[in-house]
Amino acid sequence: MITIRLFRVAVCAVAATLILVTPVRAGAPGEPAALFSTKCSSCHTYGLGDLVGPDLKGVTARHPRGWLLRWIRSSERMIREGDVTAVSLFRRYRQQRMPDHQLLDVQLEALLDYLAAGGPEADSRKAVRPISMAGVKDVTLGRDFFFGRRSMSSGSAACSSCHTIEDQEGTAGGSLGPDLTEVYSRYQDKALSQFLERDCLLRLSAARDRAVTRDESFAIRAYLRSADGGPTRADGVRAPSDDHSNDRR
Amino acid sequence: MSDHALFAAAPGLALLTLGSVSVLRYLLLRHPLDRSALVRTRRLLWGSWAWRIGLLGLLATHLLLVLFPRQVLVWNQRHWRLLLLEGTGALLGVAALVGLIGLIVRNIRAPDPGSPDRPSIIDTAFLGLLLVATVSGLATALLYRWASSWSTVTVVPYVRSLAELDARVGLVAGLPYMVKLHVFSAIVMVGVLPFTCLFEALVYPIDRVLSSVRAPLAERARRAWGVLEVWARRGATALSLNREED
Repeated sequence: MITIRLFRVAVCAVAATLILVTPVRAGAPGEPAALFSTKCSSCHTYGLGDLVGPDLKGVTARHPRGWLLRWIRSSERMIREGDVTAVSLFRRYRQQRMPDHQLLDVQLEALLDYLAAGGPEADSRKAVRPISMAGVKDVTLGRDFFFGRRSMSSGSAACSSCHTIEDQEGTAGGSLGPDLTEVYSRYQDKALSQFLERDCLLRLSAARDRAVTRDESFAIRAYLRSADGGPTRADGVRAPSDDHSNDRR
Repeated sequence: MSDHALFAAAPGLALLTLGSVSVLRYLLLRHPLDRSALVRTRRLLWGSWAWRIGLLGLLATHLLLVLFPRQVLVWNQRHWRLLLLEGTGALLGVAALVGLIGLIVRNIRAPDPGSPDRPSIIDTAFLGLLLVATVSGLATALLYRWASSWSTVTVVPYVRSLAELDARVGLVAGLPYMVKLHVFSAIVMVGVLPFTCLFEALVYPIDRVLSSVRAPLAERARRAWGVLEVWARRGATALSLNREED
């Protein structure tokens, strides 16, 4: 009888332990471009000059990697310890202390690799297809992605699950998120492209950081532009009037 | 309260309560279970046809979403199928709400205190939680269209993460208040369930199965014990005989 009671107590204790030690995941580690955008870009630019902190272009050449890793983790500690370079930077940038970042080693390494490989500049060079090249086919494809008639490669929910849009065929879509009819004129191509690559809660949650592909992003942006009243070339040839209108931001 | 308290700590506590209280309460009950508990639950919670169909239908659709989210997304690719699913869900929700209100009114008008037909405080609280969950679920469906699509990438992975003991709070933290209320009321219901009269009704069939298995097992164990005793006696007798011969 005592054995049975002990067994019951043990079962309850094991169950309690399993539940109480359940780790809580705040979010999967993001890709370096997203890390740069969320953690660094408010104070640093890449190739556009100093902001609150120094321009990060060439930072991996200016400082040893180990030093950079320690600096990002806790700049305050390095200043307190009297590191010459750290103190010099602190004085040079109006004694603005950089906040400590609790990032995983793998995230820090990826971030430094990203900066060494050209950072956001290299990203923008990769985006070679201007939206003004989009034709009717791209718009139709984008519409299919938007309304989920064609599945995205990440297998995630369609944009219309949460967002309404008004196009030539009428108004349709969900109401959890904002109406996207005029989103193109509000954010323009570059910002929308960056958003589609990383920021949508639903895609991130479903596919754990897998963004839409460049082609999918291009097609969706083409559709958003078309819904917002933008011109669409039937032949897919760049129109002079469209020139750079997409790159205002 | 923080989202972590509501959607990571609270589910853990609810599951712990469900597990531990269910086991303790089951062990403390007199076995085999009396049918009277079943009859009492039926009187208190059975309710109207609208309530039963609404509740079972909603449970089935929620289960479908949790188990087959990708298939639901594929189903929703056609607009008429999305409308069919959402419309069915909304109708089931309305049926469940009407039935539940009727059930609550009937329980409020229950006989004198002390009567077995009068619901306990915990049963009344459970009905209240059901009401909150139903109203918030219906409001979510009406205010935030196409919940069957967006929930497959927010609430469903969150529920699955709870089953994996790895709560992904970020999936629900950004959702509107009404959706959070719906999810949280369901979490509280899980924790309250083992205290209600519904618990006895739910474990009754399990107890019947266990009872039918327990009796033959006990008989076999008794026989095995008897055989072991006979062997032990024979062994002891043989030993004592050998000693006497020596």
